[in-house]
Amino acid sequence: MNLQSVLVYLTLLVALVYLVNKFLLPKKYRIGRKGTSSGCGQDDCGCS
Amino acid sequence: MSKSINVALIGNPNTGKTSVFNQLTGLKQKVGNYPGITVEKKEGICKLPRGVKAHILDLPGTYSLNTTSLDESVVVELLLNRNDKDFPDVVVVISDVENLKRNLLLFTQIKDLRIPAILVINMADRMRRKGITLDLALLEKKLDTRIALVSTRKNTGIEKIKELIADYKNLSNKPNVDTTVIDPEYFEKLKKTFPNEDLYKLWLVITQDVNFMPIEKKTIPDTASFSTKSKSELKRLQQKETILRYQFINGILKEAYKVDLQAARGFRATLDKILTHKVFGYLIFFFILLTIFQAIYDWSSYPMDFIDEQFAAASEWVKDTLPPGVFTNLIAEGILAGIGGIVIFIPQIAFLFLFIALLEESGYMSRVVFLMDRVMRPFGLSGKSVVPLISGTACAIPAVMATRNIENWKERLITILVTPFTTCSARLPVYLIIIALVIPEGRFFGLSYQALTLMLLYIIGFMAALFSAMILHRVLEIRSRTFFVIEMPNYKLPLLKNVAYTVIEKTKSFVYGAGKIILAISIVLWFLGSNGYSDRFAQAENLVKQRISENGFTTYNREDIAEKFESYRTELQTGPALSEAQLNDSLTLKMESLEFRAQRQEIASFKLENSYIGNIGKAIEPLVKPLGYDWKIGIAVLTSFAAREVFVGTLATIYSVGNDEEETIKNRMAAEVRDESDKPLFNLASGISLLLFYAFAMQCMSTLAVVKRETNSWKWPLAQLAIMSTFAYLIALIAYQILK
Repeated sequence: MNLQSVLVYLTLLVALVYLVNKFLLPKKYRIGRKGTSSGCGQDDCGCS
Repeated sequence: MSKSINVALIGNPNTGKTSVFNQLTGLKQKVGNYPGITVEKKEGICKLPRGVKAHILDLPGTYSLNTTSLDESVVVELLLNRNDKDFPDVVVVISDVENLKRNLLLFTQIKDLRIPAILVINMADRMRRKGITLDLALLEKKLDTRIALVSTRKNTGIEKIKELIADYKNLSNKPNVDTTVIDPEYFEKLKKTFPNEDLYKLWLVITQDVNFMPIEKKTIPDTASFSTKSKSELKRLQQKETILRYQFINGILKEAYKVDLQAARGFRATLDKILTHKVFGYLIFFFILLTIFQAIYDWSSYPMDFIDEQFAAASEWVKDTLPPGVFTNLIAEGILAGIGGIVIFIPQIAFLFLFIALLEESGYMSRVVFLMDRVMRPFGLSGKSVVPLISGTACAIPAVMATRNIENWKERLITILVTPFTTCSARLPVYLIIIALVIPEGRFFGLSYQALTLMLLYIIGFMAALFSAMILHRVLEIRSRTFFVIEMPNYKLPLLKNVAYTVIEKTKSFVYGAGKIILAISIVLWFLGSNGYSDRFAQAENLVKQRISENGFTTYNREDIAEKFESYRTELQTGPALSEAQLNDSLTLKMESLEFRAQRQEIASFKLENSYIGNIGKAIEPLVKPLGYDWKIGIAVLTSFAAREVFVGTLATIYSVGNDEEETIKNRMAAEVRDESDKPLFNLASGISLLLFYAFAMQCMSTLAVVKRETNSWKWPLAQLAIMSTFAYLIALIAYQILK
């Protein structure tokens, strides 16, 4: 497997992890910001 | 180290609260949602005198602390919870000088919670015109607070607010009104049962949901000495409290607030008569809607085309510059296309919210709601649902975001759920190509059949939205009050700063909120369309080359090459004279280039057919066959989940047409025959079936992402996807089975 293929799979993995994290995982298992620390709610709601 | 304090901006709707917030915080603000609900949360930072830093929270507009909606309950929840990290050190109550009496009801309630409160009287610039005079010193004394007279329009009084906030420790926290007099016995028992609690706070906890759906809260348990009253009794007491407060307010305003009525009449009354007129009102609104529609549909096409071109150029640049390979393809065709698919919506969103902000800011929106409410009410919608529904004909994404103006949650949810039925511009490429293929070119009373079909599809979409709204209104068990009380704010020139903030904020929230989901799905779709597990996929290039060398190109490509070659030959022969050798060289080069292009197209088509998504398309063929489609259309239907217009592009790839020119694709589609017979694949039955499928199906991941964002739950977009897709499938099935 060449470097380009590795990069493709990595990108796909990131996208899949993001979607699973967002769509399928219950809130308490979600990776990343929990909203309360930034005070912007628990979904990605434009708080940057 | 500078000290930071929490400041909450609270006030009635239309008091200019957001303008005060904008002037206090400038661009140091961020917008989000309150945890678990989709009530917008705006917060910002403001530097105050003496090195104090304020964290400013702009709370939703509320008329009182007797909640009637989710927005209002956010305010009460915060003021009742001293442990909340946002609990204010000081509350700034924004009021409007023309409606001071009504605004003071909320102020006195906050004051009675013993939270330090400052009163801001906004729109001071109107006082002279409206004949209003105020005795500020007397008001401050009677209300036991400090007051800032402000005009956000003239930018006056903001420094005074900052000073008063910085000085908040000197504010009195004594209550204004003794609420216990409304039922001394009841409050006495309450005091005995909870001796350490503030009585007014307890009262608000008890009455928090008497006008509203039951909310999650710790209930006050009944004991031997105390039992809570029934809802109707509590409501009666709440009314007594309101009367008591107005008696207190009237007493103060009688002395401190004077209005010269003669000066107050005029322009507003005349304008109201016209804008809410039974005939002219609707005509004016129709004209304004037409302008909005024109802006979203037409004006935004220029920046959209520009964005499209830039992303296409960027994609080409990546392909030409980076080393060839799959990751380069992913960047060019997956990531850039995904980002382009997000950015391209920015002009439409910006235009829609520019107009909505202008209508809101000017005070016209309230007249529209009043005007349209009686039309929309039978369908379970609000007057404000009109704007999203009409905007949905351009694009459902900004339209769904525009439902934020609808205060009633049930009406807002219904509007969000039904808006994608309206015919958006992304459906147009699909409609136009299918209509051109299957609807004859005749005329009916001077109107072309094709135009009539297109119009019918728009009507079907709108009727589906209204009809499903009516059903949802009956089916959804969401309790929310639907009484119609609307305030008619004064007309004013929109503050450009506020309009700009709204446009920037909405655009940002789309790009960061829905954008990430769209990009992630685009990457997955690209992968599924560009990779496959079978040997046929891996050997695509060799297999196609071998097939071409043995059997030649497909009939379509053969004819296409011949036609283009002939036309090039004619061009050369009629152009400047060439020697025979030059002519032959040119023709050979042209033939090679045409054959190379056709070969690339056939390889792309073969790869897509054998990719993961191609396999899925073939796997679902038994499901789509009863609708009159083959696996190729099945693939196009699947990929167009990214966006409906992708349908045409996918068919172009599958049929190895190689470019997106509508006429070329149309000819190729017309030539397509069914595998089992020589009958055309696209006939009236399958065409109508496809048109109806696209009219009703939820084929837009961006809209789903936005619905998720706006409802803060996957339950609604998934239900929307399931119901709309099932309905679309059944209608398409019935249509095909009847017409075939």
